[in-house]
Amino acid sequence: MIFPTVQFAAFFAVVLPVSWLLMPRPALWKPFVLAASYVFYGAADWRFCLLLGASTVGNQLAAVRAEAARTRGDEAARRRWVTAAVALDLGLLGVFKYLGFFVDSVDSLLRGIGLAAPLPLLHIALPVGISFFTFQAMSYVIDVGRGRADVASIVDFAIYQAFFPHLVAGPIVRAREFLPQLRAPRNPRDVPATAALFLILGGLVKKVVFADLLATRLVDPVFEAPGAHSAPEVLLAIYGYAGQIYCDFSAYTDIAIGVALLLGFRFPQNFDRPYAALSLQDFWRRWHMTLSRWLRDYLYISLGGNRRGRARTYVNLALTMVLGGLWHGASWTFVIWGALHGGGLAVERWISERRRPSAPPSSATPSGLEPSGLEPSGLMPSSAEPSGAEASGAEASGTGRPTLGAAGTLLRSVRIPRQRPHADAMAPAPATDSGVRAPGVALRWALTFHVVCLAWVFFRAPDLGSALQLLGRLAHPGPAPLVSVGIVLTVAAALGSQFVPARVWEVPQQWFARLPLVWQGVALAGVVLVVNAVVGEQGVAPFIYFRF
Amino acid sequence: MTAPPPLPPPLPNPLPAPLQAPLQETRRVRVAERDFDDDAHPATASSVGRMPAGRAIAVVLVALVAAAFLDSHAFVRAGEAMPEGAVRTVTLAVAHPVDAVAGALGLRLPSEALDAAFGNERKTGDGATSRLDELADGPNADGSAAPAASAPVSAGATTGGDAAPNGAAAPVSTAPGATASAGSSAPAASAVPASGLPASGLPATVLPGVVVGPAGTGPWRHPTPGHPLKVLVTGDSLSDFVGFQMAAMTSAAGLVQIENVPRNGTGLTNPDFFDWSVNAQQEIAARKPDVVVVVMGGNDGWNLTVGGHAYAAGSPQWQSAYARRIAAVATILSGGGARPVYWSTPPFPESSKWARIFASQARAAVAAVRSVPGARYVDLFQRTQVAGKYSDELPFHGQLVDARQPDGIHFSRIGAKIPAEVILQAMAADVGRVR
Repeated sequence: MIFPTVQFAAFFAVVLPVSWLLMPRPALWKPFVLAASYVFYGAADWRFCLLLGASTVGNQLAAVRAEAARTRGDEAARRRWVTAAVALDLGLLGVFKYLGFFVDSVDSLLRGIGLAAPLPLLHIALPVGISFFTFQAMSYVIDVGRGRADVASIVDFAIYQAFFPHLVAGPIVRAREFLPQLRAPRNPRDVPATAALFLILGGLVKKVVFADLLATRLVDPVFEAPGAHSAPEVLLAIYGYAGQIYCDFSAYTDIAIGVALLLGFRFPQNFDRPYAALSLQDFWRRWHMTLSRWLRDYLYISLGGNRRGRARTYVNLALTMVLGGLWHGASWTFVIWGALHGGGLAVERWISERRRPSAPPSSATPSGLEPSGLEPSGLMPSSAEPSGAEASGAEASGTGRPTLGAAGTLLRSVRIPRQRPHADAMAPAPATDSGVRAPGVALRWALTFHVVCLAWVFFRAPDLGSALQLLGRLAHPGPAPLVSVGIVLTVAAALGSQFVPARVWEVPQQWFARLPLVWQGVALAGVVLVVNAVVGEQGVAPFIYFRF
Repeated sequence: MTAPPPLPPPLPNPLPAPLQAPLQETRRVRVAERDFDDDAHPATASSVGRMPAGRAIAVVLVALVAAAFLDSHAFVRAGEAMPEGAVRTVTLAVAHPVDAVAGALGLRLPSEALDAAFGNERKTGDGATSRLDELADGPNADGSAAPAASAPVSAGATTGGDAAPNGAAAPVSTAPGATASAGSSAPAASAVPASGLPASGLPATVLPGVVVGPAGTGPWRHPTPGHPLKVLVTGDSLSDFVGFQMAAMTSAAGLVQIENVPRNGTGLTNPDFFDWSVNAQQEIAARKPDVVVVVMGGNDGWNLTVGGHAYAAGSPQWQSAYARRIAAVATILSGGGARPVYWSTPPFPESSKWARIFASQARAAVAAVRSVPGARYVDLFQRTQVAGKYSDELPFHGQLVDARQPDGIHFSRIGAKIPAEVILQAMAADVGRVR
């Protein structure tokens, strides 16, 4: 079941009131919401529910055993059970997501060295959302094993893993964020419904008006047959894909977060105007934030983070991002996408450290964010805790805002506080507070944006050859029938929305909040009407991240 | 760290008393929620428009009901697009009365005005009988008779009936020595043997057959780099990758411009949802193509109702009615033979049920193109069998490729090179070099 459909509307019209009615009685509410989530998931293929259930049972068993071992001080057993759960989860991903890729690669290798030993092609249906619910299960077992979360009841864990708003395409919610919400009833007197409804409608608009239009009118034709298009079309399609994937993916998570809020649950933020980033490190604090912190907490730190010296830190950064690329799919194009980001992050860090050689990596940020004492800022620091250098820069400037100039670095990332709805700062603004001139900021923004766009070419292209052919077409001028005023404006709007101050979006919400109940409903229906008119007869395309 | 917003003053609570119980949180819960607040979405803390759950539920329900009435046409279309089953039945049982009430009360006016403003064209007829039904039951545009329901619909030596045991269609008839040629000289109702096509190196099991309809009004123009042919590739989702591969294969020569317009989820058996006769007229008027390629049938597993009688998908009567619908749409697309139309039905599927239906479609298409000037049937059904069976792997230029998607119907991205190539070969036989 997908969000912008009649089926989901009918499903939600039942689940929303029943959920609030049953919530005071957890013995009824929990089975209900669990069943509803399985109905939501099984609507595509009921057999996938068996896989989800098996994942839940296996991970819960490991979590219970790991906690028991930790309680009695049996470190070896604790490690054994956590490892078993991780192996189970990676095994599921391996079979359903990567086995075909592995077989194809081995087959190609054998052919390449002249051994005609073709392996049988494998067609294994990819269960929707497997990457998301598997990562959540891993976070649960690892956190329990680390003592950072209590083991939950099987029902609570099953709800955490299957909760329908985040089941299919995230955001990736930590167990220690979600499970406590199951233990306390939600407050029925205080639902941020206006913000939730605007998230849902905003998501619909982003998906239908921007993402689908860009895909059908520009991106798909160019990326599928790059040889048939000239440089202006190719360049606009690359920018267009940057806008499309942001509007598509952030739309899904906006709708998911809005739906969860209406049900009384809080989800983490997943996007924060990523194309306003001034460095790749900054970009990864703003793009798919829940994946970033997952990679940081459970991969980068597990690899040693920045604790094992500079060279190893660079390797860990690159390796983390390459594996993050592979998480998206079994393809060399995703590997290259991850490698570009990983390499870029390593280069940024190298430049930063060369300019302040006296600051060893491990002392650049406060420790203690992780139980192990590892600091995660080398990849994507906690948004709540500015790095030491950044914090001191902010203090030096006397503005209380993070700065760039204190350390005199060119590419060191700026820690920009995430904007709350009442904040009005545009993202790049802090960089100008400390003496870094606007041209420098613009240059850093442009460099970051274009590196991200270059990586997107490999992310979107159907294969490596097509990606290289597409980049090669940038040197081929010619007629550009796909470049129309309307498409250019759509690309500009999709990307330019990143720079709209958050306060602007509050104005229609305040207006909406003053309407009588019935007119609120009619106003929402009016937006749906307009969205449907934009869609026309073509319908809504599937969300991009469904296949991840 | 952002402090959580203070609770608003108590409001009348529409929900049962147990919900009003004070929150009991353990220390761990408080710690965890405090940690969570660091990363929580800003909307969580929004102070604008917070309201009790009861009111939020009411707003959502009013919005859904209002949307159903104000956009009742989309509601009906959504139901029509669903696969057969209880959900579709229930949805349409609700949507049709809602649509009727909305029409009577004038509630559809806003959506109709918006459609006009956005230039949306309706893809269905206005009357009780679909436009496609009317055309399929009437004479062709050129005055020739459409394949009649009572007439035997044949492909080669086989007439209607069930498919071969493995679901395969009967062999496409071939006329020895006949070749595809430019429109004006194309032999009427003849067929092109596989040997008449350019050598591709493909094994015989995947070599195509192309059935050629009556001569068009040609001669059709041969493309040049300065004056390329405009090729419209359309159909259902099966046509999507085919169109992209055709564009990729022809891009270097610059002799054709591919316009890929898939109409996902559509077919010929449900004109109440999407009427291809209406769409065909709109596409020709708007895009003015020189050549049309259609790959369609993946959604046509529905029963067909003709003259008040419902015929099961794949039955002889269904096949005859389906042939008339193909002929009606192909006639519009070809403009009475002014441009060639290459029509393909789906490839051989993994499911035996679909194999029977697709075999019937293939026979219907063979019969249909024989009555439509300028129409050609390009076989994908037989050429995607390996030893008479379904296979994910198909040979292409001497190498096995993973040609099918996991659904056992669609071509994979690389597998779509196979239909793209054979369609381009058929096209080249009519208009000269295209790549």
